[in-house]
Amino acid sequence: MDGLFYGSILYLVASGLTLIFGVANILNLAHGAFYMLGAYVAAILIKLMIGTPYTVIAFPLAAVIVGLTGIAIERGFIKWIYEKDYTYQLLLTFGLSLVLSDAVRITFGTEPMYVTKLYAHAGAIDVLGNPYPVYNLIVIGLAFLIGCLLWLMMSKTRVGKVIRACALDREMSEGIGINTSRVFALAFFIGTALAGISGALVVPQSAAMLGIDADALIQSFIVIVIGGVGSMKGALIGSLIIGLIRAFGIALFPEIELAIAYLVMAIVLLVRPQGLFGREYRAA
Amino acid sequence: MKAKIGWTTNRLHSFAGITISLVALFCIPLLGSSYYDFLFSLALIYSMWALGYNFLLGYTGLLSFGHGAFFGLGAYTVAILVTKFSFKPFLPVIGIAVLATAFLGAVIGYLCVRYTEVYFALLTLAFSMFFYALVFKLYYWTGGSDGIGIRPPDLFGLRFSAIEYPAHYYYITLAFFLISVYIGWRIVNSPFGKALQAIRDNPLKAEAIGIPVRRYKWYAFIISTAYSGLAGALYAPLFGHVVPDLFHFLFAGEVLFATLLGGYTIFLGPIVGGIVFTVAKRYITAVTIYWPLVLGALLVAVTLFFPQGIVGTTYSLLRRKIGIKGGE
Repeated sequence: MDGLFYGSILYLVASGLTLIFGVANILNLAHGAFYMLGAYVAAILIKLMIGTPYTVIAFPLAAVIVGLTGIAIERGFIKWIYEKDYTYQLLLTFGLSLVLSDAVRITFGTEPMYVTKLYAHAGAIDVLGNPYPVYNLIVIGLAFLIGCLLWLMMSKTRVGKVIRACALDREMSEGIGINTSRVFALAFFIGTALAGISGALVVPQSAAMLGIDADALIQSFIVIVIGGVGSMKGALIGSLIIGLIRAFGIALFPEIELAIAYLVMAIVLLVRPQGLFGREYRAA
Repeated sequence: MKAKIGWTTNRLHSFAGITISLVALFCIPLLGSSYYDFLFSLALIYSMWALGYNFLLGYTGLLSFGHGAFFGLGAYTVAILVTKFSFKPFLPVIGIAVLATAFLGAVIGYLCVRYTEVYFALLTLAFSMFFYALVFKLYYWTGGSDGIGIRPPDLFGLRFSAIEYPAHYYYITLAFFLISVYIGWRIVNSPFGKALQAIRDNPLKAEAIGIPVRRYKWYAFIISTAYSGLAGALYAPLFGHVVPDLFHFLFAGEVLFATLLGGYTIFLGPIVGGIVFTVAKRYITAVTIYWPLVLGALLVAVTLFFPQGIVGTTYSLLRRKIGIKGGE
């Protein structure tokens, strides 16, 4: 069950990363920083609103704030390097991640922020005879819901079609009158908002602290490498695998829990270099 | 075409440049400040590191976030040999460290070079974080988050210490530095080096004219990890203390930035970049604690506005002003 919880959070982070990569062809190294930003913003908001019925709003609000930051950064910096060599995007997003995470440190301080009250408030229920925190269940359900919404949006709506068209062929989409620049900004908004909300959802369960950015980034890298870069379905399966590995790993062999995740990644890479669902790569 | 007799102005310029910088490098301990000895030993180590790194970034077109781990491996190998095994002869210790790093580089490189561009970058990043986690866990060997404090190894039966005799250590570093630069220059200008550049410019064409692309990339990876290992091995006795942070990808970001700062399109670039970076870092961290912020902002600025780096930009300025040739 814990595995499902980790997996849900990971899925949200990784799908944002993979969406941006699939659409804009940018591997956003600052993704972890957005996740951390989401966690801190949510912690602040929840602290402000705790006790009132509006506390729930803190989560979508954090996501929107992070998403807007994402757009601002895309418009300000990343926009200029779409046409350039891939080294530039890695360098740029790496630089941006350093700036963002240090800015978070300057703004919110180095102390971890806890809002565990909310977590305790949600209580626990019996699942197959074991008490299980309700909050985790809510998060799992929410991740499922967001996943479904994303899938619906991408496959059924006009916006989704436009986004997929851009992902497949930017020039062609421009040719048939799509404002690709705006689509990229949208992809960045959705992607970073996903990072933001997952950061926010983690806060009540653990804390908003420094260093979670690198963790989130690496974990979601592993997820999308396993699942196949750019594939949404891959992100789902990959995060479930990693989530479960993590839960069982901590229970069975705590010493090498992390090593197993890497081992799985290495095996997948050797056996199926494009990832489990690599075929659909770029189809978003 | 002018006949190539005697010295062209261009060669004369390079010769003068090399002589001046050599003399300057030899003279640093004469300043008599142990702080400068330390600082410039570190600068030379970063230069070697960046030079090796540039075999991948500049000459093969592969961007790695994993070279912090290889630097760390070199440093930890030295630390473990000296403290856990009391194995202290200097040159063998360094040699073992370089070989061990290159071996691990070969294993990891074998997996990574199957991928290109961003996939390669994120794989190297993931592997370096794997080692980072491992160093924390293997407490007995690595000392966990405390790291390992090490006593300096011996050289030819002669005890020397980077702390007591920084000038001695500086000259040893300088010797390694000059050898590495010479070997690096030979590699870059060998048929193998040219093949790497062909791979960088167009992998498909390179494959078509019979260059074994993946194998050559693998070789380049191994060479650059050996350089990282050497830099790390020399770093450990200089600092006297190694910590897991060396494995973190943020640390690999430093060599990336040093290379970029100097200019990755030019052989000299990373060498200059390593020195400038080290000195700049010392002074910036003395002024502000927001080093990552400054580093990140500089990285963004250099990427967007000076992609050619210091040496590249200087060359193109010189070329425009007095028509000097060069840049490769």
